[in-house]
Amino acid sequence: MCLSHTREAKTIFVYLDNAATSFPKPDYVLRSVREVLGGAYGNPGRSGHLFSRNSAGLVFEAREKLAAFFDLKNCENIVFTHNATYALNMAILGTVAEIRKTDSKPVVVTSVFEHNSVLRPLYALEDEGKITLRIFSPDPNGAEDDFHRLSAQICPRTKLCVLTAASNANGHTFPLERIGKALRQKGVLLIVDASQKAGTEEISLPSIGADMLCAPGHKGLLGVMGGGLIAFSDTCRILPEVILSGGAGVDSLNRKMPLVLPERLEAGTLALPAIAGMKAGTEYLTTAGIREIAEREKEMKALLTDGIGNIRGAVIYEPHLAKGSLLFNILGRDPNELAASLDRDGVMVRAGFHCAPLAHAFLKTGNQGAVRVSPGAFTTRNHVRFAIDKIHKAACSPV
Amino acid sequence: METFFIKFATVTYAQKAQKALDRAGILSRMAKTGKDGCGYGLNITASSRTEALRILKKAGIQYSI
Repeated sequence: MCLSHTREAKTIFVYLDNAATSFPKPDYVLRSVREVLGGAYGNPGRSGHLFSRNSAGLVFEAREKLAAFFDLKNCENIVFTHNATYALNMAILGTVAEIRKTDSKPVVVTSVFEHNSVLRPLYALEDEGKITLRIFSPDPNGAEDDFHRLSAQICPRTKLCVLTAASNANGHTFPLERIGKALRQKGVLLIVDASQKAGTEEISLPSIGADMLCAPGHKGLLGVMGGGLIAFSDTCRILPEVILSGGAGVDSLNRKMPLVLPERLEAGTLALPAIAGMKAGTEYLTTAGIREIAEREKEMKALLTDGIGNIRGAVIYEPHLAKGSLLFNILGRDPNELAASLDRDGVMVRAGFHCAPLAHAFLKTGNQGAVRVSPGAFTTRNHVRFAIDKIHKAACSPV
Repeated sequence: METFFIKFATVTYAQKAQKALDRAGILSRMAKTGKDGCGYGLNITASSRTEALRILKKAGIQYSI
């Protein structure tokens, strides 16, 4: 638990909104970010002087750390963006633009568990007549597994699949390794949205067979807001078309962006403090042990599932899911009011639709959505007990 | 001392090359290059030229001279 030193001094609070952004950040990360903000750092990859070289060196080290983190050999395959939404838009729109050079209207497959940062770019492409969009959902009866439900959507014109590594709403996952392997055999590209997975579990890009993986720096990677990335597989089968053009620090007289990664997709000044944060967060995770952190988060989710499940009227959506966020409602209670009540009691969660409208429709959460509780790397048993107690209190209070 | 300059498409490739040369004990200094001043390259001693180019080829790092 933490003591707030701001507006409401000495209020005990418990932060369970790590799916939105992780809190707290390790001191090591904060020190690294401050060092960049106040240190001898210029614009990376622009000028030739000492300060610019300092920054370029830091960015290069960050690429190397993150490449190793995702089990990649080539650090130039780490492209920095400003967040996961930028990364997903550049990956999706750029890949479709490249595919459309040989197929004017490819089929793109995605799932109901995607965030709007995947759905909205795909809807835009569909509305413009540039793709045929197929959205699959898990079998509501659980008879058929997700792999077969997805496979049923693949046809000869399917060129791209975009899938979440873990739903931001409730942690739903897909068998990515199996899916990736099957898609490779069929010549279908795979983009993975790892917004909720990167940093919370080990991810090997070669193992899951994805061509690209998109992630934010400020969630599981424990960095600060303002940074994200696209990790390109060493065996990526496509180079996305450029979506955002501008200065790249090289080849200024050319009308076009550079041909090679990462600069091809890094128009404009990089978010150096956020990149420093991602680098430091990755180092922290590697030192602290990502497996240990993942196990602790799993334990916290189990405690939450058990505790909330025992509250009268509680409905947990897909309670069997072992990792990620937990999504619930209390029958007869407005989830937004419930979240506001918890906030007054010092428990921070998020209610509503979580930018994942199709997931909520599939889970039948109702017209006001649900409450999401998302533990993180620093959530303790005491935090969980405190939160369950307050959720119980809120659920039992008169409407 | 006579020097030799190797050019790269981007700063990232120049950095990657510098690291590969560093590992082999070849010192280099990064500098801006090109008529627009918007390229990157590495200055090395001329006597290291053959060995440096061999290392870059082996590492698969594209360059021009």
